[in-house]
Amino acid sequence: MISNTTPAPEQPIPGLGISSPQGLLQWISSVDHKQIGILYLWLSVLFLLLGGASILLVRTQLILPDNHFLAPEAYDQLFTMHGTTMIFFVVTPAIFGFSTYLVPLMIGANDMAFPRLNAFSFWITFFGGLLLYFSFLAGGAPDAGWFNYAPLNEYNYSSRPGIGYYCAGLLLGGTGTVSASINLIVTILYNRVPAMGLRRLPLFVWMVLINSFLVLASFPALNAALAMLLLDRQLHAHFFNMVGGGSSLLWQHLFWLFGHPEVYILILPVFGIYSEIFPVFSRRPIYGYGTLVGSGIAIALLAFGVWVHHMFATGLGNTVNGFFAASSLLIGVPTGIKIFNWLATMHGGSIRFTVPMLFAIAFLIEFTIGGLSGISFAIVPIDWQLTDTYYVVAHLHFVFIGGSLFGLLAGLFYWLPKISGRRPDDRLSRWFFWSFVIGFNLTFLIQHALGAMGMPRRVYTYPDLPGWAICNQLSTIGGYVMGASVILLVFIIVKCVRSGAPAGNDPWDANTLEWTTASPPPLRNFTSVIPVTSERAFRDFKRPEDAAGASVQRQMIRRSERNAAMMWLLIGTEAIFFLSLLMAYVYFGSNPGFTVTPSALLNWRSTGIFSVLLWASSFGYWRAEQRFRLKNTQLSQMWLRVTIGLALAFLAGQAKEYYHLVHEHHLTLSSGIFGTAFFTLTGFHGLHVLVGVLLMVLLLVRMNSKPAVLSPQVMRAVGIYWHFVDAVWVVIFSVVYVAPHVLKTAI
Amino acid sequence: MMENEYGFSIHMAIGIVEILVAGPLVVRMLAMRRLRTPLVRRLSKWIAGNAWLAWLAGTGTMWFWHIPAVHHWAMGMSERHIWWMAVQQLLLLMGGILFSWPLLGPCRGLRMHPLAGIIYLATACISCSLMGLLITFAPPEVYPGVSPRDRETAGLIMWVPGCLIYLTGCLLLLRQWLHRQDRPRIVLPKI
Amino acid sequence: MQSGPVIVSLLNIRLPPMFRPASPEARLIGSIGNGFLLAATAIALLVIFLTVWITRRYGQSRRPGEPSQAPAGRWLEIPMIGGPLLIVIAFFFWSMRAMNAVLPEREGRAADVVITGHQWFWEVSYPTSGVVTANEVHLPVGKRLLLELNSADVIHDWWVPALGAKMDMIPGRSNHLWLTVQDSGNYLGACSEFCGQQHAWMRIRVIVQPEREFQQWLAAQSAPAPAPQDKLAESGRSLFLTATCSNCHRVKGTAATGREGPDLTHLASRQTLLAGRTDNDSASLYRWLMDPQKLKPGARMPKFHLPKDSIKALVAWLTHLK
Repeated sequence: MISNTTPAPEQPIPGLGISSPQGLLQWISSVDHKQIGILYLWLSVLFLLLGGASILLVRTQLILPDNHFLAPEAYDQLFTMHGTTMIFFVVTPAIFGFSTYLVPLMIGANDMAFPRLNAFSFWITFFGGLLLYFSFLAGGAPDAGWFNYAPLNEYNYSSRPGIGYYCAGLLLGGTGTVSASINLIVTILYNRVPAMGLRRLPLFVWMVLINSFLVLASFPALNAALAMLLLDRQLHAHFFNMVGGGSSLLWQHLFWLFGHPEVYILILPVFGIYSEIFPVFSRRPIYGYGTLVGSGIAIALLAFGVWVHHMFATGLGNTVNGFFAASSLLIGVPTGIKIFNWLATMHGGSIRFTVPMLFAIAFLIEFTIGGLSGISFAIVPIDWQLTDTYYVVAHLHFVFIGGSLFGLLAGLFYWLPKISGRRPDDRLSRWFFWSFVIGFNLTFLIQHALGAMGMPRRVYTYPDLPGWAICNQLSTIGGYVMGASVILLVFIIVKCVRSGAPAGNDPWDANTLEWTTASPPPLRNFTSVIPVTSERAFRDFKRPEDAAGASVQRQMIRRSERNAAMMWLLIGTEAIFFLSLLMAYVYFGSNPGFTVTPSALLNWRSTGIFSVLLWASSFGYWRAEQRFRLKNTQLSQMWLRVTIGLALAFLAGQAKEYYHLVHEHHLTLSSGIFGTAFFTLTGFHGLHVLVGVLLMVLLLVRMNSKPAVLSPQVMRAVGIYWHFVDAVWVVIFSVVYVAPHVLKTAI
Repeated sequence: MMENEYGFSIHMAIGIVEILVAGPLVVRMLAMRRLRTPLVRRLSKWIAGNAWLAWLAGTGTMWFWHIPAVHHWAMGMSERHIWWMAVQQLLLLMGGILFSWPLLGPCRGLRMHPLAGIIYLATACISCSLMGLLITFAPPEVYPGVSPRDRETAGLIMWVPGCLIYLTGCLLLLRQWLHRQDRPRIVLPKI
Repeated sequence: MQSGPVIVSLLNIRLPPMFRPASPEARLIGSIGNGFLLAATAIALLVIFLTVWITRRYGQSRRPGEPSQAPAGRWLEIPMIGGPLLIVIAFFFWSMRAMNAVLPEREGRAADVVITGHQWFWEVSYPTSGVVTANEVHLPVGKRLLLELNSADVIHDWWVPALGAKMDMIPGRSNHLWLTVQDSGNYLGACSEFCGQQHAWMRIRVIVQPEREFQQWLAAQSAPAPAPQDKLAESGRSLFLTATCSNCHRVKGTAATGREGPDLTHLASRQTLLAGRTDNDSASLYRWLMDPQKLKPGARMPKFHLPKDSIKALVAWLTHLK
């Protein structure tokens, strides 16, 4: 197949192997990225059915004015569960399903960088979803909307356990998402075949890479907010509760600091899917590879500077609103560019109207509508009229369905032959396409008008005002059509998997590496990988006449650095978590201000002594690592023990300080906003110290029993974590203890 | 002189221009062959090995001058001594020069990899946004003598346009990287 | 009159209130909204046209076989980036102007009306005259007014589409809104931030009257509750004061001074009950008192299990509080 004059094939990076098939059990214990990817996709289908059923009940309630089909209590739970499910347990797992399934295949690897972590990510997401739904049995589902505004999410206003389950479910799901993102980044950076330079990554892989960074930067803000809310609800802290000195706006800031990037998290990888589909079915190279990557990065960076546009009606003032209007308008530009890039890709081609391509073409129009209605929220005066109405509902569904879901469906029909080895029924698939598109437009186009007529979102019923009933009825009928077509989709998938016609390795005459292996790919994806000469490696291989002058450039990829890279990514996201807690502390310290004087309560000198011990432990660890590298296990163990001792001394010092504060000053988590902010910040740090101590104890045990197995890379990774924990304390110590003392103000 | 309604904001705008525009331009100028003296070369080498210090110099300059006490003291100084203004501008410029050196330094071979440069700029952007955010939402007592509107505008200048400059830098680096020519090792045969 | 397009008025379709602005603030927002609608329609049509044109012209049936792989010219990218950029810059300056006109600084001016959101009713107070009422906001026509918006519990949101911007009511802080209503009449709105079970029945009714009428209304409202005229009402009154009603409701001129629920001093003068839930008539009032949770599930008012006669007496008294 490969002649002597062509470059030699690449060796893929080996994955874990399983010697014998184990039946169903294999799915549960699998660490194979393809099986985990498929599990993610089925999880997404399962929750799509649940989230869809709940919204059909909601739409049924809205079919008549002043309807009594659902009580408001049930209605609130159903629409909250619908939003939460669709965002966190349908679109997110679908995206991660495609990512974990396809990324290794597209970069010529045999598995993810950390296959066991991959399994962990899936299962913890799965249990997060189960926990969320368990709330129905435990006394009531969450009922404050998917963005769960304070203080409606507080115990006083929602005393049922639902919101606690919301916090726990999302924390678990978020942990899965963050760990999967770390895994994907390390996989993309370190598991590529050496010939695949970053400039030759397929665009889907690029978007997954950017997206994973976006996840690492945004989820910590949500995790911090959820942790604070749990503390409020379970331990009577006061973060979001006015009476104790908290702030309900803080929830909005933290939530949207996560929430707006989250919107892009749900669309960026899907942009990658479109960028794979348009070139293949137009038979043309993608127009503006660099522009697409650049606009992806621009979106990711801008995403963090626009969250206040969710808060234009909270009265922050025209100055604040104006700047955020500017940045929010700007983020529309890179998104708009992408639409024109895809149009230009089709131009001059020979377009095959396959089902994936139909979804992609429909997307161009639907997403333009959703994008434009999105721009109207960046224009502050229009936002003042239309925010929190059905117009927003229409907008966000045009983006989430017309953008994300259409792309995921396009991806499903595109890759299903690869995943299952069989072709889905074409006629039924086209029926599904048309019914879904028609149902979707019927449901949501009309909702723009409902919003303009004055119908607020999240109302369980409405008065019989002119035009309201008929619009709602049409919308509900559209919803039923969508529901029916989703059932058809499940049927198509099941039928394809069980009895579809064999697909062959490369049914679409496609461009990327996943099509070079069998369908479905064997457990070991590749025995060898074709030379990678551009982002369309497979096409170059099949049609070398179009790839004249293309060359193979091998890169140095230091695979041994994967552990350290993972740890850097982990502490990067941890740093943002602590930053969120620290910002909350500073925010409360100045705005409304603490009711106690921190410099009078806190003894910076005695804490300073314990802090020095903690910082000294970093030196101890450094010595331990150094000795270990020199193969001196004995001395290394000694230094590890010193490090652990110093860390424990610090913890003891902190315990003493807590004891003193609680007993002498009656300062507790619930005694006021200072106690709330102080104990949370220092407590989470203490927890991290404890985790570090446990890791070091594990190292010690390992060193005792099997020193040969312990790699210096693991030592280094734990070291990065430990130095980070100490560095965080430098910041906390200066802000909480030293600054009030020096500046003579609260902070 | 700075007693007007937007004194703080004007100061902020000048500071941002000094660090993020003037600094990089000065560094670009040093790239002229005439100015590439051995000293500059040695300095480049040192900075290339300690890029994090350059990062710290840039972000540190941003943070330092807006610590309320420092800000207050500096404002007082510039009212009393006209030379102080020049000194302060010079310090800001120095920060800007150091900050942009690893990215635009005179010795091409010693510049940071463009992708590392993106992370360099993005993290600086986060730090700058944080400071901007703190200033925007600071209570009035923190910056005495500054009107709330002025303070908000100043914080937002640091936050939003400041961030956009970093972002532009990131995109330019990305462009540079995408267009960079690597030496091919194996060339496909022409058929 | 209505400024809607001719065709719409010919067909006698009433445009939604957002497009029938009744205040200069709403008009400003309306004009930028119309401008945006035009621009957005043009862009959407452009994309639709391009999509249809390209897919028709370059379909496989018309261009079979593998097309040329020569890269397309990059010049297209300049208008691709430049065009949208120019549009958003234009809208940025337009919206800044509108924002500053709609919501200028308060500059220390005291509010004319203070509206406080509760779960689930609106408390309306007029600081200069001391009048407190609920759910229906009476305003004089043609005057530039400053509203202060507060919340007593969770976040609510004030929105009357025909009168302009919405504004959140956030516990612990006061927001403000400027308003000049040009035509008298009734304007409907609703709470726009999800605030719990009865969010749907937190409707707003703004009643705009000529200055003289408004002053008369204000004078009537500042009077204490009228004395009961008949025996049934009299017994209703004493029941109200001895049962727990008075813990939560205020009726000026009696011992009932609760502030948890809406002020009932002139309940019978209002057009609707329960923040727009029902018309204000004795049948509805009777239904409500029989079982509040049936009419407005989740409402803070519990079911009191009073005998029918007592409820009739309460209704007789309450309907008489003109």
